[in-house]
Amino acid sequence: MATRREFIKGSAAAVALSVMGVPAFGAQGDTQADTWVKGVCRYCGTGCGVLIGVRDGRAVAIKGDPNNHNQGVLCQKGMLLVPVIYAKDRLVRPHIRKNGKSSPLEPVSWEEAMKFATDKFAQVLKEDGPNAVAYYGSGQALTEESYLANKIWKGGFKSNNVDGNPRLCMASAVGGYMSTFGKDEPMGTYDDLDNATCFFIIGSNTSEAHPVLFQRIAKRKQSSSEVRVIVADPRRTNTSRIADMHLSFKPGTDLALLNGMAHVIVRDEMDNYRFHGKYCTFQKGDDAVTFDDYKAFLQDYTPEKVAEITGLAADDIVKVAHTFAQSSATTSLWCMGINQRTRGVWANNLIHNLHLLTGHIGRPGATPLSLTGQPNACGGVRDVGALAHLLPAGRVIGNQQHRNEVEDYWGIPRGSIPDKMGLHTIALFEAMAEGKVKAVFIHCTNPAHTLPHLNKHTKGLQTAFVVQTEAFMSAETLKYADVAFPAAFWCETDGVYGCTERRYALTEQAIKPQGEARPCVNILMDFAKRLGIDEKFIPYKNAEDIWEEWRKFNEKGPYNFFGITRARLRKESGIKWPCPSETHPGTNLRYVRGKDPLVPANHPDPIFFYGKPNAKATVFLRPYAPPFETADAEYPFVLTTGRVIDQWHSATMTGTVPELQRAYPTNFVEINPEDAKKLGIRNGDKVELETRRDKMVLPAVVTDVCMPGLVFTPFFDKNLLVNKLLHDAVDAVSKEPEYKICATRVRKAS
Amino acid sequence: MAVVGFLVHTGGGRAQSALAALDAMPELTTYGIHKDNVIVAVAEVASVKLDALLSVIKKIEGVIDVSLTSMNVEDEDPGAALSSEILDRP
Ligand code: SF4
Repeated sequence: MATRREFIKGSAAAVALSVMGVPAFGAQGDTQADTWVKGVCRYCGTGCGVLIGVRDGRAVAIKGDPNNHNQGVLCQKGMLLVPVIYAKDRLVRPHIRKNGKSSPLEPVSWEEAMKFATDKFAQVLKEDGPNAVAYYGSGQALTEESYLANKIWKGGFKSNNVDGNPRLCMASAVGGYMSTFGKDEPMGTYDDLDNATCFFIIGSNTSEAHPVLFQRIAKRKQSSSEVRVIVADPRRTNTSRIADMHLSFKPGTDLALLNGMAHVIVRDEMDNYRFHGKYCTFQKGDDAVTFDDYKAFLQDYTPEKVAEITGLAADDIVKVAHTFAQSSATTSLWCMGINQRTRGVWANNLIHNLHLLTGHIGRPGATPLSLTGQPNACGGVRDVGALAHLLPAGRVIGNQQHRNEVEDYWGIPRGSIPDKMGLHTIALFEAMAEGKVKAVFIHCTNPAHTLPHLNKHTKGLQTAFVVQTEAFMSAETLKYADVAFPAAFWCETDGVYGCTERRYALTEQAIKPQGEARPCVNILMDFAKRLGIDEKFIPYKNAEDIWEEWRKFNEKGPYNFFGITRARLRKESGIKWPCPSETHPGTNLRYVRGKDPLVPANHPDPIFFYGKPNAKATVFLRPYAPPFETADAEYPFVLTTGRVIDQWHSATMTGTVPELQRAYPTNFVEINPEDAKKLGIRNGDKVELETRRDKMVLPAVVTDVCMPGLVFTPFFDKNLLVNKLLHDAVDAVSKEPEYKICATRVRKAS
Repeated sequence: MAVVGFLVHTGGGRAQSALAALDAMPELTTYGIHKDNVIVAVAEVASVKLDALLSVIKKIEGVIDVSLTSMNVEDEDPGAALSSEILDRP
């Protein structure tokens, strides 16, 4: 008779074989666990579906969900999620700091912690008014949590000071989609990756930041010799492993590259005039201009001029433009390298321009697809409007009609929601430091680790009264928290995530929360009611009730989730909106007649950009502008930061998993061999980086990943908070900080 | 010991030689070469050593990538695997 271990091995083989479409050993994995509970990976914006194996009330196994987009595959981080639940540093009791910031966090009862938190908030609300309180949320919070917090703050406390970490990662992508198409969120999906014949990847290290998507792209590349992959990135990352062309441009010159590509496409008549002549308008700032004006504007971006700015060969610029335009279907992918920039919105616009000029849009495999960094920045924050300028479902604070629609839906008097935008992230932390915002509720994020220019912005955390919901004791922000509420983690509660491709998927509760941890929905409800928010305003028994209210919010509008019922989410492995009815299968191609349910079946044109009043997408004339800081004689190197494959953000989760921690135990600095030689630096040497903000010593990794003049460091390590080195200049439109580029000195440390 | 199921993607006509190399690794059991030259395999390995094992596999000639499909840790105590090295890292 087979042992249990043999059963488990057989099950593991059966799961892997089933992913390959080979039936084996009967029902897959049924010997590993008493039950398998459906969920979504807790980490990146890829949003892979998982099945969590539970035995005797304990999570014991995980496998990829074969019915979700990832088709049963996970990366190593996702595969190692189960041990994170049982990490020793889980925060499992409420804590408070009884005597100010310098006193220790002490464990107390829920009652004492709640009273302590709400007494202070009540005092601030009474003495200083609603603008003195804030909510700082997360693209990792569940949709129901973000919707609820947004409602409590904007409709309940009458404070628009609701922002969160998506401001730091996706705000420029939102600005790009909104300005070009009139509505946020991509028009394509991951299905496009299986149909594209050209991938243009810019400002994204997909192989490390979105590994399962990268595997899908690599698979597509292998499937046909026709497929071309272009990677544009100053670093030669793992992603360029599958590239036919790698464009290593000077950091911060991508706007010139993108305009240069547009120049070549128009010059060589590879633009699709029938497409852009019919579906686009051209705009310079707020002014409408003509295609001829656009052509004149592009004269500044000849390949030769762009070569001078970017450091690329003029021939390569021509070649990449031709490849982009001439493929049968081009998909662009980008992420933080484009978004985290003082011209992030412009860079987004310029990528959209290339698609609109060539007509590579609205067909399978032809789409501009912005990759999301976090698992629920799209669904949980962008869609529910949990940012300082937004209201739910694409509405904005600045529009009275929008405010009134939300007030009516929430059943509160018109005029309840203030007409002035709240504070975006950087302004919020500045206001906290200045004592203008006196109390903040931080949920599911770690700003003391992840904000830029940390020495400046941790002053805000030191000054304001900080309430934090958190699952892990190692979170740096807890050093500043006056109250720490232990949060149920991942499959200890239930809720919905919405990933990059407009797919909403449910994580069901699989196990009980550890210790005294509670679902954040319960924490927020308790908190709000104690502060006098009427029970009728937040009449929910659980997250499902909140979801039901949310999905019906926009029954008739363009952000349409009406058909995504909880019952469907339990059955199906994610549904892509727009989804206007319970029988609608979800939408792959937005704005396309016959594909997007919001385009009338009898619409005269096959494409209908309904986000814009004139139904036309906008090609913007956006000139090249350098980054906020460039290398100079005083600070001669460019520093860029980013992710590594086995660590996630501030490593509060991945840092608890020995195998991940072992793979990347500490931050380091990548430096090109030429630069290393000049500076006498060898692999493993200690290197000092010094910027205008701070200096720091890190171990060197000498590698040609970075071009000469560029150094890179990851940011996950709390013992080397590299964000202290960064400036906090923001994009004028999106208010997203320019994490990706600052000037630095580099020297061998003694 | 964790039990980990995964797919080994191979290319360049080297699926057979990659399979032989995988078969020679004591932690692994393989389950054949499938569509698109993908090898199905299961590893029995202390989860702390998984990363090292995957690195070795990725270096085998002809191996393009490894996709994980399942992991069972029921007889491992993940909390106990968390060494002070991690909590107290410098
Ligand atoms: S690719 Fe992202 S979502 Fe998928 S398993 Fe890995 S970390 Fe999770």
